[in-house]
Amino acid sequence: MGRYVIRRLLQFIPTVLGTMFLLHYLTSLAIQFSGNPARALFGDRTPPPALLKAITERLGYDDPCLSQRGNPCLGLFADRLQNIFLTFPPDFGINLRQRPVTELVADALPFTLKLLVIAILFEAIVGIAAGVLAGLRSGSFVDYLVKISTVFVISVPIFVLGLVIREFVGVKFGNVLRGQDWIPDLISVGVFTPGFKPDYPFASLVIPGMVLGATSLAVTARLTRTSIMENIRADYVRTAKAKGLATKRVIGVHTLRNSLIPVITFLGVDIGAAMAGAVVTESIFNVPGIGRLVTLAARSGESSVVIGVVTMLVLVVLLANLLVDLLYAVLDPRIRYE
Amino acid sequence: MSDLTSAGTGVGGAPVAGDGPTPDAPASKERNASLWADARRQLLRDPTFVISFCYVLLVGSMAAVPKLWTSQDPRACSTDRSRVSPSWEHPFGFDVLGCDYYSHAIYGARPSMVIAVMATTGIVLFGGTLGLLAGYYGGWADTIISRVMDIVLSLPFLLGAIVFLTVIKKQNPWTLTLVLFLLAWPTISRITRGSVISSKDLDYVHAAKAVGARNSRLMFRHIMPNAIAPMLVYATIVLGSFVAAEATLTFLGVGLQPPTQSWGIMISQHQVYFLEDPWLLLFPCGLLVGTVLSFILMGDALRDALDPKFR
Repeated sequence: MGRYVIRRLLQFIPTVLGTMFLLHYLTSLAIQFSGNPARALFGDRTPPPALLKAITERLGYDDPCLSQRGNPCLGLFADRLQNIFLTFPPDFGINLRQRPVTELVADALPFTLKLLVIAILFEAIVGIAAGVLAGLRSGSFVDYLVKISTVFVISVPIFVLGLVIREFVGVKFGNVLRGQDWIPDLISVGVFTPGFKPDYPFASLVIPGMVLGATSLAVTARLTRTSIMENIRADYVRTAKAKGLATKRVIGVHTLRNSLIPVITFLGVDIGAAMAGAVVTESIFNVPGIGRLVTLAARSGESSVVIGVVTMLVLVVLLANLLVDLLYAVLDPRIRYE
Repeated sequence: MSDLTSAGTGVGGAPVAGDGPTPDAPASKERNASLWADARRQLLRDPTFVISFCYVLLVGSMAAVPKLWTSQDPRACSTDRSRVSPSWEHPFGFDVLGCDYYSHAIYGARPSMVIAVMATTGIVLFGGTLGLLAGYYGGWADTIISRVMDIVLSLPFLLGAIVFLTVIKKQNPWTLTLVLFLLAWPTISRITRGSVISSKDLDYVHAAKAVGARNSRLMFRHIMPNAIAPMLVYATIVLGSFVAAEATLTFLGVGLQPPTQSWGIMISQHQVYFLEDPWLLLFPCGLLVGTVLSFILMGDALRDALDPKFR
């Protein structure tokens, strides 16, 4: 176990460096091939050369290697690593208006975190419950219902689902609710809303969170279902039944414990996927979170913001994966990593 | 499926020299049919597979020869017909610019399908080869290839695609294909690597090695046929997710751009008209979801048919 942890930690370092280098090289190539990004500030006007030079210098785009096509700019990469890992607070770059990316992310983070919590809770609770119900009675109506509905949810692209839910539930159904006087505003205006409302910071994120969690919910349900179906026939479950334990205990303690190992792993890995999925959900429901920050920056061509935020997210994802792997080794002693 | 049948002769273990069961002498009559003949028989009896296969053929023919489906020109537009509802002659009505929506939908199948097919071919060839090399040689080759796979996999798919497309700044089917290819090859590599590792120590591989087979023959003749089934299943499912990914990226504004016809563009341009004219959104969404669903159902059916444990 100890050796495994050390090996996994050692593997973590080259992966982080490699990913960051990939992102760094992409930015450098973009600047080398499409020119000085500071020009984007001026639109189609031609800035005075002195002004352009000053701004370029201040934004840090004046390094000579940025004009040599194909040069990996290792010096800049070293600076970047130093800025991120060795300075406090870490520096992930600045946008074209010289606001640090860390500040932009700090403003956006609370919304995305709330969204993620709602999504993960929703998919864990509903997904596991549906999976257990389906797995215990395979071949029953519930089983078919879960099987068919999960296939549908998986194959609907998240943005189609989001749009349809926004229009049907947020606008049409919401309008009906808002017409009734006896329904509290928290529900009619807060929950069933077509977009994020600052007045209801939690309630108006419930539906976007559910949309974000929907695909993973389907995967969770299927994973739980197969896992339960495998374990329910295991010898130790039969033994537990034979010695007269209540069904509740046999299922809830003996079977679930083993069956949930792959599910927990999936949920851990899914945090990263959900962060990426937030890009779509947040732009549909107009949530001022990290995902919308990335989309807006991508549309306006501010690559420094995109790269800064994505670097940060990738670090989070890698850390989550590392923790999941370590957790997996703790949860399942049958697995030997040697 | 005849090519699959001949490719599958190695699966039974006996390296038959050339003549596998030919398609005109159906293997289904034999008692000991090969895995692929069994799978084909089971698939043809499976209604979900047959329906989704027909749907995919339908969309494929839209993409290949759109003229077969419509004689209208999707670019013949006139704004005085803007958002006219569906009629018998124009089954999907007109879009906001007054172009025939049905022909737009037919022509819109092409970019999605072309991108999905090209990217899938790319990841199968490239990812498959790397997975084979990593699994077969092990050691340093495996370490390096696995680390590169980890690096690429640590970029969440959508975020990675947004980054690539923002910095490339050219958004056409080629760059989209490239992005999907670059971000998706590690998964199929892992699948191949896993099944190569599990089958490279089998007895018949050692036997072939003992009689002096070269590395390339061992890899392609004896080990690779075991990996084809999982790769085929994954490739089918990934075709569906690439169709969805293209539409999603287009919807986010980093994919294909408006003068092109594509389902993603149809959806993103008409989302604001949903309440007045929902059909503007429902037709492209339906086509898109149907395509993705068909590919996923086909993949599921293939997995069940190719896995002997489920028989």
